[in-house]
Amino acid sequence: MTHNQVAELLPAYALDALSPEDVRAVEDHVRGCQDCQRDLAAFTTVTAAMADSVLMTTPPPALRARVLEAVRPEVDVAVPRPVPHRARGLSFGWALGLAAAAAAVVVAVGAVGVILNQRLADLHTQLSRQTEQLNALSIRVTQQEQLLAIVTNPALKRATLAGSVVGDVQFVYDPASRLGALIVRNLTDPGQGRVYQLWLVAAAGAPQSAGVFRPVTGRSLVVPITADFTRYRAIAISVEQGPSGAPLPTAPPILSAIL
Amino acid sequence: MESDEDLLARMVRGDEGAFAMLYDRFSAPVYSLALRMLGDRAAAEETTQEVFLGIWRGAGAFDPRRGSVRSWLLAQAHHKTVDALRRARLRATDPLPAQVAAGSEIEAEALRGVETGLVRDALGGLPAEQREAIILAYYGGYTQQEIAGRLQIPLGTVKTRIRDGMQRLRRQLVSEVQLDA
Repeated sequence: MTHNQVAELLPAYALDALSPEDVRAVEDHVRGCQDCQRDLAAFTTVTAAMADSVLMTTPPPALRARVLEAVRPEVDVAVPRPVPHRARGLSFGWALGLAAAAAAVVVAVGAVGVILNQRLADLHTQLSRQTEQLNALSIRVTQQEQLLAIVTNPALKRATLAGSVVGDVQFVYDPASRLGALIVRNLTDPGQGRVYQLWLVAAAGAPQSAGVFRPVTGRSLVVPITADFTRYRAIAISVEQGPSGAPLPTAPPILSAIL
Repeated sequence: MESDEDLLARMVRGDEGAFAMLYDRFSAPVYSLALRMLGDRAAAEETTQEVFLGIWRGAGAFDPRRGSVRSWLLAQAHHKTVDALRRARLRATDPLPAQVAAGSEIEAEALRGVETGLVRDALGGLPAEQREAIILAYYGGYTQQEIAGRLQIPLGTVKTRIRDGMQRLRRQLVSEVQLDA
């Protein structure tokens, strides 16, 4: 489209009255044309005045709360909580269950070894894509430096959590720097008054809480974790009582991965 | 008071407080425009939320060469409201009965909602057929092609009316609006 053709479309562009094809053509041209930028600024001033001139109605206060809530940082900080009283409950059986899960994984890998190469290639593609996504996400987070340190680390390891619920939950970590992050996407709400609690599981001893989190529908969540990952052989998530979780898991893990 | 531009710059750095201030400045005009065009509170609220989340995510895309933050933000609001309106029209099982109203009825209806004297006078001063085309486009959310179909006139005629009418509004409003500011 020539400059003159675009210039003639600017008034309709400002009114949002163009077809999608014309919109693209106008935008392509305007990006590099100062005259058109100036004209468009004038027509946008006209349409802004038209917007401003409708009868003013104050939106409901609840809308303000919803909108502001929606832009809270996409990353919640998982703060490990001290264990208030001595272990009771499921820790032994829990660790055994994980061991069984690990054995099952090994067997399955042996059986489908042929598929594994293809799967590895897929995972590799996925990993570079997710690293990009994590990188973009990390720009906005409070723990920016920690996440960047993780993401840019060539020694980055990755584990995909699997279990009884459908969810896209990855754990990336670097044993040397002890920095890690849980990347949560598409995980359903844990239910009213409940939270997801993250556990680091050693070969022996009680699982160690690594914090609690609640996913926000439609948004990714990154939970930074600092720990000596070489001491643990699994990471697991259980549903616990909110807001602060439990000193020890009170329910079987819904998702877990061997480190 | 911090300028809109300063608030936007803070938002690019992830400052939620700046976002809250921008919301307080512009939520009424954004919501009012959506309510005016969609005629439904729930839909207007949804669109307002969508507009502000878009502004939060896209704050870095603001280009001062293309006008003020206010113009930019209200253009985004109009754009998203038009999208919502077109989606609602597509969803409607039988959109025809609602749309058989003649252009002039919609025009009268639209103009009733236009309160501010300056714009009302400027629109009122246009030749009727230019005013009709611009009101159908802006407040009705119709494309030039749709307007031509509705009014059963050639597309070229609609384009000319919109272009000439907008040039006139520009001459009348832009200098006045800018003197106001």
